[in-house]
Amino acid sequence: MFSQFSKRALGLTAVLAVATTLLLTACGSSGGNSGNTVDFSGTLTIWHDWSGAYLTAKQQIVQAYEHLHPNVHITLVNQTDDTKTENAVKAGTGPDIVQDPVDHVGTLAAAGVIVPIDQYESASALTSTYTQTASQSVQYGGHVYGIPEVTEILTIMYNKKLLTADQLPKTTDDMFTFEKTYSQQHPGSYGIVWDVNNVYDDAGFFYGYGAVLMDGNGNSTVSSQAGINADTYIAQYNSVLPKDINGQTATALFNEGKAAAIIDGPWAYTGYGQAIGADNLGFATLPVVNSTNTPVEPFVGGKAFMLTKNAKNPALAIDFMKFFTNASNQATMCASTGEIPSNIAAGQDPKITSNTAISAFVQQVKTGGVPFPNTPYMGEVWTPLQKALTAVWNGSETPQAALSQAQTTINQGVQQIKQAQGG
Amino acid sequence: MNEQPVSAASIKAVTATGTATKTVAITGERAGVASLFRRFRKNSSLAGIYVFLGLMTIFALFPLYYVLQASFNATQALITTNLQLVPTHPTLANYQYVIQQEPFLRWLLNSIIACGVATLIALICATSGAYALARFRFRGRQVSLLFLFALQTFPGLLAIYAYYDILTLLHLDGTIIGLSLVYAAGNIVFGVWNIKGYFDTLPIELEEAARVDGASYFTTFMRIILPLAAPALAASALFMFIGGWNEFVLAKLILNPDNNSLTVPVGLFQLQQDQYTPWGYFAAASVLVSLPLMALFLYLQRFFRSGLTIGSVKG
Amino acid sequence: MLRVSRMTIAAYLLPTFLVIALIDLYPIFYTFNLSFTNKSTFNTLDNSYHYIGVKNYQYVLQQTGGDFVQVLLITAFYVVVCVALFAFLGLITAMAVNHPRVRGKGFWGNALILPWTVPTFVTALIWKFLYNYNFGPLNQIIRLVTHNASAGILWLDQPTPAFIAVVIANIWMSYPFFMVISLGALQSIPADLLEAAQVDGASGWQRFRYIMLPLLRPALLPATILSAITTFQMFNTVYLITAGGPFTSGNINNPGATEFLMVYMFDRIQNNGNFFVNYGHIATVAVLVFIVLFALTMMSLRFTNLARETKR
Repeated sequence: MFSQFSKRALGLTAVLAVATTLLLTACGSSGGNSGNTVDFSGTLTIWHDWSGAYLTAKQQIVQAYEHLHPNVHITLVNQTDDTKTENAVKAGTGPDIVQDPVDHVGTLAAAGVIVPIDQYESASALTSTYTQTASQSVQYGGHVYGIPEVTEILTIMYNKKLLTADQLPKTTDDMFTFEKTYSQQHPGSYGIVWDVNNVYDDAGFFYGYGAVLMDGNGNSTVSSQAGINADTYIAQYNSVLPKDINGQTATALFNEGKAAAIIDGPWAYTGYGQAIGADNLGFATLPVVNSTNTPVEPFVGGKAFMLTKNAKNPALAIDFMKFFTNASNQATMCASTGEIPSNIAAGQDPKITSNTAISAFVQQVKTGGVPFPNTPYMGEVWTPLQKALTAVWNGSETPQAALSQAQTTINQGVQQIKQAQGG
Repeated sequence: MNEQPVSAASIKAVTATGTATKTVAITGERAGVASLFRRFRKNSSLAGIYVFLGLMTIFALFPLYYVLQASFNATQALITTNLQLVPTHPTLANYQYVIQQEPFLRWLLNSIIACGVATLIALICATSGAYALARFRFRGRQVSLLFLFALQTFPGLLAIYAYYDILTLLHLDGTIIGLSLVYAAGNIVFGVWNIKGYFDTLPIELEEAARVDGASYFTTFMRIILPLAAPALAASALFMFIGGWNEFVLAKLILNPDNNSLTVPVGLFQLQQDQYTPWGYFAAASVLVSLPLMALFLYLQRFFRSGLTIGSVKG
Repeated sequence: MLRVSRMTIAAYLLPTFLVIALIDLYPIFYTFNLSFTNKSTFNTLDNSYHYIGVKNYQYVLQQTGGDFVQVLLITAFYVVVCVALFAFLGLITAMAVNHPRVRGKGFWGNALILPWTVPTFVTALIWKFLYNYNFGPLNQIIRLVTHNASAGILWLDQPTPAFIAVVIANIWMSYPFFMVISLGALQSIPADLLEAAQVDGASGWQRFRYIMLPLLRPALLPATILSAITTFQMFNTVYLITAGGPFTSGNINNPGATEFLMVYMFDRIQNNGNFFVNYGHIATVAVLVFIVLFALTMMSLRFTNLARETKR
């Protein structure tokens, strides 16, 4: 639900830079799995969710791989519906690789659509190459199920023409005061905006207040006192933010200079830079929750490559995934897409460390963030909680009532999944 | 099976209502009706009627006008909380953007292919069956007709998983041609009904006479009946096409989300949903997709409503 | 009727019926069949799903039975309100245009029919634009009239305004159809009939009630019923404007204020964006929706002459 944000145009220079670097570094980085002889021929089909300029950037790496292995042909298809993936895999017409947000890992693994790749990449090898959170996100049920592509997290972006860094709120109480005073001082404008009824955007507040949206065993505490506190906190913004605020309105307001700051992710900052001027875009970490003294902890998620049951040449598929995510490819790609590299070495590359945006997102990961659950149970949380948030925001329900209804629905959903898994 | 717009229902209504709507006020009678109405309404205020018509016209036209002017408005100007009814700095930038930066023309092409192929399949498959149902008597005929009628009430959306399976097996999943197959499913049932209804109105003596002249039934069907049924075939084709043109939900579920594979309704929806896409682009795209259809419709309405003239004498 | 051999009949029918069997019947059979199995994401690939009798029906009716009834009720309410309003508006607009002393009939006719010519998805998206809280013209007008910069109706975020919003949009796109039908029917009323009534001293209302209305009936009744069925199955106009919302509860089974039957079905199929799908449950809801639609259509057969047509 958060992977569909459209991606903004990237500089042509950046793309060219990717291509050049790839050609220079490709040879050394390929073939990481010693002992396995890889047959570098045939077709690899990848179902992915890249679009627009992101796609252009990623295609550079794909082309470099094809250049490196002339007998390999790679087909890219934009298709991310898991139901269709499963159908296609069953019919034998599915892709070799799926690139999906990491929260799909559990469901796809439990369904048997993707297969473990421990024999090609052990958990320890994974952890030594990729960041802790990224490595965790592709492991499910004690197996490695994928190679992490990129990491994503939400943070605060602000307009330097309207604010200075020291004006930004440090705590959640500050944030609400800031919101009130800013709109009082600037009628028609808003302090800080975000997609307030979006579960992904609000998850950080829930975790910051001490509620857990979903753990690996199917337990959720959205209706706990902590959850109620979080929702109460969010809902009070109804009095100061536009009443029908959503992602679209928030973006429009920020782009127009009618909002001083926005909570959003790596996919969005290029667009904001274009709207308000890249030099005017500042970054800050999310505030600390006063009552718990814990920072607001948004999901640390991302995308990963996974090997499907259909893969005709698994060794080749894995080799491609590793090539795609090697240090130099990641550094060049992320420097242009603004995504956070999952590869540790890439994160230390000067191209990345000198990039203020990526550094800011990395800083947010360090300051506060929880691994994006990749259990199938997480899927049962989105809609009930989103409906609860909306109902409370609109004043139709109290946080207590709405969240306890959501909790019941979530529990039923989890129960359904457990039954399906058992039978 | 596709959602029938009200306009598609109209053809059924017009067929179904039979004589009542088809009866035309003979022009000569008009003067009589007019004088009668003059007396009949002498107490009612003509001004009141004009006010009512004026308000209705505002209701009818305001949304269209607003979108039209928005399409010429710079995006900045639309994100305002003040009412603006005239573009401050008229520009064609929105149109340019939609055509050059968004795959708008591709969406149009996709829609034309999906609807065109679906219409073609359905027409070919429906016509012979409709003829048999209209002209031949056989056991199970009545049941078949009722059965077809029942099929019409089954929206394709309900069987979406079956279509996923069929399309995957045919290697057509996510494609425009696959979508057209699903559209054809709805069209064919509509087609059989609609075309059969027209065949029913053709005198059976046509075939009998041809038979006497030594022509086979098949020759008669191809040479005489089909040309005579051309208006019904054309009307059915048009409604099938428009039905698909308006269809959103199946296209949304079946097509790959890649921006280039969408049909116009899904593409336009995506354009409006898009986080960074302001209203101007959407408005321009709406105007582009509506104008040709509106023109076509206004032109064709004379044929649809033969007899349902709205003061066309004075128009 | 033509006397022909069975072979000939089969030759004409077979192509049609084969295609219908493949792309219409099979999917329906598939869905019914699915509703009696426990097929889900987890047992699809290894084909380990099996028949579980009517358990899905028990589960669905138990879990969502009340909600399903609620969806049917709000859908029926929506249909009644919409059809009544646009049929009425269409009729009086037609009477106004048809008024003998009204000039410019061509202009009024063409202007008032325009909403009908707009593709339905465009209509829906235009109205969604108009209803936008901050930047939509409807609220801008309200602010202009009230001189209050922060005034405005939350059209799509409050249950009642959202319901009204989709009703207005539907009236806008549907009344011209009734106007056209009514105009045709009005013009077909013999003049001497009304004249005779007038001579007999019938009042304006009486002439409308006892002469015009009965004569309009054959044209308007089928149109009304077919519109009602169309409205019952309406998807575009509602979904593209409100997506079934606003939702007023954390229980996902509780329908939103405008979550009418087909939108409800679509939401089940979307499965709330969840990757885990219980196909059996969704197919069960689909079968229930089908039963409702089928029953309604069969009932409406009585009111139109479609039933007679099958006997011809």
